[in-house]
Amino acid sequence: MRKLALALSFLVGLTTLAFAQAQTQQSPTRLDACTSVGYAAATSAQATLTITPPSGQYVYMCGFSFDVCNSGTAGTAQNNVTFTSTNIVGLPTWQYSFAAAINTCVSPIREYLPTPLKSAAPGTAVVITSPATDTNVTYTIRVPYYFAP
Amino acid sequence: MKITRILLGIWLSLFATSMALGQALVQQSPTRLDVATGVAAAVGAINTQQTATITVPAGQYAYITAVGLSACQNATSTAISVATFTSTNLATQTGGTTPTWLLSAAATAQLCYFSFESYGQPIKSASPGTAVTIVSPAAVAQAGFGIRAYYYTAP
Repeated sequence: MRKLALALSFLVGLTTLAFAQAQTQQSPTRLDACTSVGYAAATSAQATLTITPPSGQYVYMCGFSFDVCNSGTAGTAQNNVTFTSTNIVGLPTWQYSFAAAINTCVSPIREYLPTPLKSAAPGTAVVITSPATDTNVTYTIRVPYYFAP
Repeated sequence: MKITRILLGIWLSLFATSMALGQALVQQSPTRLDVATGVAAAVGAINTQQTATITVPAGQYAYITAVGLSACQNATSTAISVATFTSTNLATQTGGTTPTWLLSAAATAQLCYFSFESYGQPIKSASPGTAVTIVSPAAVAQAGFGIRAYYYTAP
């Protein structure tokens, strides 16, 4: 009987130790964190951001940010122009108008998603493209992302 | 002797389980099933009404994770006064009208209105197998409307 009690005690002790270790060990790396930020910028030129996943993997986009700013020389006003996309179901676009006055920016377009947006086809790039060239206007595009099956 | 063997067996089993659980924490995560898989998008020219439609397979619901809306004036502008983006097939607590998003904009050239709502928990559509639509205000002579609804479909 004593041996039985001893064995049970030993068993409980080991189990507790195992769980205690699990709780105090370093947390594993989050595998759904955005590991990179796709970035493209262009002044007096069209900006194109290309995110190319490895074969068999998708692009998981965590959000979209766009900046459109004018320099010290006035640009040409833009009316209901769009940033476009490829390899996303629905092919979303982002629209704005811009007076392109000296040293001004479009109200920043920021769309941060609570869960990522998965690209349409695996192994295929996602491409985000700015409106056409506008002299003296600078575009930037930022898309945080990670790759996964 | 027999009891000792049984206890030893239980201990080995628990130990192996603990090891397996420890490994599960660091192994590669499977594909996430709650990500948005599409964007119902409708962004159009001035003087047009836009409708974004999420088509839902039979027996499934749309789960909306975020909604982006925009309205932008052209070089010539038209005031927009208390207009609404409307929706269909989204339930409300009271069972009344489905949610709308308000918009007013001055008649200022190139003025834009942007709205973006992201939902920590997705919004599930009301009826399965039924499309969800988000519709812009009626056409405005010198303004263009944009709608983006990020979603996935599931039971």
